[in-house]
Amino acid sequence: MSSSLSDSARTLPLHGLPATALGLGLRLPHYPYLFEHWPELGYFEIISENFLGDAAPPARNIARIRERYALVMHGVGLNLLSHEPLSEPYLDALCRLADKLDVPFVSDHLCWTGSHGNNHHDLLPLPYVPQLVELAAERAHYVQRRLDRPFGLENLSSYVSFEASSMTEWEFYTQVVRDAGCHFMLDINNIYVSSQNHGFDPQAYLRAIDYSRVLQVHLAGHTREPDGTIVDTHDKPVCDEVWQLYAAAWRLGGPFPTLLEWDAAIPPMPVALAELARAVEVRR
Amino acid sequence: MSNAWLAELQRSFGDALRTPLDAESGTFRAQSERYDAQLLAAVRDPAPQRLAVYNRQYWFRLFTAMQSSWPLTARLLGMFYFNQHAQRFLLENPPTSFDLRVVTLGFDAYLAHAIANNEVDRGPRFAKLPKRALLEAAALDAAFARVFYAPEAPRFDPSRNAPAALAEQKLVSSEAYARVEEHWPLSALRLRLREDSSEDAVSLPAPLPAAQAWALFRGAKGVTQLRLAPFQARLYTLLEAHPLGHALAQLEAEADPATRATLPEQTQTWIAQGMANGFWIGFADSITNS
Repeated sequence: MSSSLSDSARTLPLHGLPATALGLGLRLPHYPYLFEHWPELGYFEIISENFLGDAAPPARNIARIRERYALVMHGVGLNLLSHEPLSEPYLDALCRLADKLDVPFVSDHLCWTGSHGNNHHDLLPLPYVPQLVELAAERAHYVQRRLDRPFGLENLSSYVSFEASSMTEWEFYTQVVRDAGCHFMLDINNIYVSSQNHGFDPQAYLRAIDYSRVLQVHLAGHTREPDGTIVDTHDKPVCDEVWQLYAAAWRLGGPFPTLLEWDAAIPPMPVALAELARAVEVRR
Repeated sequence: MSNAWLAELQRSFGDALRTPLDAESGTFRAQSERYDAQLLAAVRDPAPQRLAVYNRQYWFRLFTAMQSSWPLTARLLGMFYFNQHAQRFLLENPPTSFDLRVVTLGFDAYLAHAIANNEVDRGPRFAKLPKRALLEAAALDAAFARVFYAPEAPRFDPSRNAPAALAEQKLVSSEAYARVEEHWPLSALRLRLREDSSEDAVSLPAPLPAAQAWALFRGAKGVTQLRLAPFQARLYTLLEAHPLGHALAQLEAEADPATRATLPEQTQTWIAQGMANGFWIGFADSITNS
């Protein structure tokens, strides 16, 4: 593995990871290879919810991994934009895990994931309206304060947009991050997926971002359905169009830590690491 | 800030997500014609097709979680029929936890209830399977998951905290230990299926000549199975309900003379085996008093 995957270049004061660090989304099928080979890598990102419970094996595994790698936490269950209040027990558990693993930052999504007592286990969109900017910013600010460390909001891949929207997605996103005083967890693949599904210019999106507040960038693969809709499946290598957007983002505001997510049809770990290493070539 | 409009939008969106997929045609089809008209009006075109992406995603994410928690049950039924039962179970028990594994808990009880009441269209696979085999498969899946995901427990060291009147003490079982009984070689089948990623239904193996009990416990490399001799299984059962002395006396009373002669040595071995593999976390009194 190239040493560039554990580049120890300058450290951004905000979050303690080398700015050029490359990371991989940690998934269960990685464990056998990881525990045998301990490949060189800048950091792993974990799905927070996989480690919030009291089951022993996940706790043991993550403690072992933490001894050798930096970790960051990425959640899918915060439910920031529900009409119901944030879950304090969930936040308590999230804070405990962040402290235990000593992560430089935590991220989740600018979306809702459940309502009326139900958890939908999906990242769901809403209209982009000023009223929700206020709600999202107030809550993101609160979450960051509770975590006592930088908190990043990720932009969604979405398949529907709403008649009621009065702002572009990037206007909504940037205003929430600015008003909350939190950070961007910028997913380049999601920008591409949504731009294709809703017909907007992804370059305009990239130009709107304040890169001084980017904690991390995500890359992933996706699937185009027969009807043309692109679904964010994370089951393939990163496509050329997304690499081009990544290169453009790097020119606009790099360096930033970069992470590859591969969540379905997960290949052997060396294949994922090789895909991740392409980032170094693309940003030259 | 009033968020009544947000609550209403999220209610109708949630209803669309949970709209059951129709399996009548042999595949799972989103029934977009059932989505709320106001929701369809709120979403830009092509609203039905795009909402259907979320609707399918909702169900298939849950189907995957269910298949992962109930792998043997799923393969005995075949994924297509299993998913139909999973959908019915999840319509009755919609997810409330952020933990996907928690969402899958209770499917064994649903299955037992459904079988007892003949209230489900069991499909051709279901009809071919003895009800008892299906329930044993679900019990085995449940036991594996329960043992694997149990919290960490301190190692029981009886030499350190054994009370004086040992015979009067009751052992407390670890959450990372379970016993199961099977009349078909289901645990062996379950192990084999770990290496088989196919979604096809598997055949039920021929029944065993006699019931076989297993202890499941969490070892360094995951859940381990220990084949139990009949009296060993009986001893562990008795230890769950009675103090040590009472359990040993009861076991002896149940044994024929030939077996009784070897019991003292065997019970020592079996208890040592249980200790070594973490079946118990301590004596009831010590735990209560600590």
